[in-house]
Amino acid sequence: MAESWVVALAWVVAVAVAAASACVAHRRYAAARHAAVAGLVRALAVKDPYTGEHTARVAVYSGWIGEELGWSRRRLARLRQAALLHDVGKLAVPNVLLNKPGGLTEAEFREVQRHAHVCDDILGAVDVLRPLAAAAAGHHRRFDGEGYGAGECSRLSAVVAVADAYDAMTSTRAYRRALPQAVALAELRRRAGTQFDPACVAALLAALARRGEHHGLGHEQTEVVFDTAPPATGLGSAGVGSAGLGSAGAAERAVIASSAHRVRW
Amino acid sequence: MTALVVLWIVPAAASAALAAAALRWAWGARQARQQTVAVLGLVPELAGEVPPGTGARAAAAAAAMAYRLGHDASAAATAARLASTHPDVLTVSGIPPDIAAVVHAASNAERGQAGGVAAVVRVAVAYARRLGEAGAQPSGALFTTVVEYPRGDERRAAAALVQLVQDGSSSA
Repeated sequence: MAESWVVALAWVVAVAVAAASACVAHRRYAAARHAAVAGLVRALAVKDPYTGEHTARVAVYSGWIGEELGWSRRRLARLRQAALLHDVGKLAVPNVLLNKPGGLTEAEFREVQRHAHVCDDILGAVDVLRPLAAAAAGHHRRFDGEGYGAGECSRLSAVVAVADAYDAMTSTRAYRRALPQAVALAELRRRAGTQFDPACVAALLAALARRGEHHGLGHEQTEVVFDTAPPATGLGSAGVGSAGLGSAGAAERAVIASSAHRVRW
Repeated sequence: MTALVVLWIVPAAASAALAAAALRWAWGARQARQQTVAVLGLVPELAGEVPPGTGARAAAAAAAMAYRLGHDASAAATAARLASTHPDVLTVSGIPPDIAAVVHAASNAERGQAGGVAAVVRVAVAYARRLGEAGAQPSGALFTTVVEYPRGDERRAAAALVQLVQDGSSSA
């Protein structure tokens, strides 16, 4: 009887030690994955500060959409990581193209489009990030199957696509001023079912309404200073934003909202 | 029979499963760190800041030179791969502080002042970059690199590089 208790106690200790080792190993694994994501995101931010801020906002908006869709915490975490990494392929695109005012030539546009495939290559090279590759690299895949990029249009990439397009339209770029939020949302609604997953568009609209969030012209989070004011119309790499406000103004310093970020070309 | 199962088989199976999971995660974490280093080392090449393949060439050269000089070859290889990486990126990527310190010393020390592993990394990276330049000849890249580092530990690192290249040529 006493022997049984001793054996039982010994096994309890053995299982507890094994469980503790597993916990520590799992934390280290999660930390290594987090470090891999953080390193790539920071490398992108160092290369192009706008893109760094853009990916952070896309991750926030993607999280809002995922919450509206009722996704689990684990799935939301994957979604946010995929959103943070969706533009990591732009590490291979020259900044002179990323921040070019005005339209891109066909060759330049192909160069920019390459970022989706480079994203897939980079994430595929790190085992712990490979599950995110399809979601991150597929964000330019359209809901109707068209578009460009690596992989299929998965649910995760569909969410990132909507968040990406929304932020692209509601933030000021070198090639176009931020659009008013109403214009951006109208554009998303117009393209729901073709370019964008309608459920994801509806979820974003619901999330913005529920949170009372305002973005776009007049509500920008960061102050962007340009030597020459960007035009009011222009398309981004997602092909959205054609519904602008009218013709461009004269060359002037356009101070838009809060922190200073100078783009030079 | 019930006692046998409860006292022996179930706890043994649980311990074995947990231990296997721990090993799997530990291995996964190690692989993640190594692959992250490799990918971060590619970033300057993707951005066109250094010739393609510089990171891999520098890592191989640094490891061989460090081994010959009795330094930590693994640390030298890792630091050489990350030599062109921004310090902020090193910080958030979980790169060990000693490696980050070697990268910083290799990049920022005064000419002739880099010591130990940092000197090895500095010379290896310089050689690797020259090899990657368009039209570069290996002998020209080696000569230019050696001439650039005439003093201190950097000179010893350059001498080790010359010996390695000569050993490689004679065994070819």
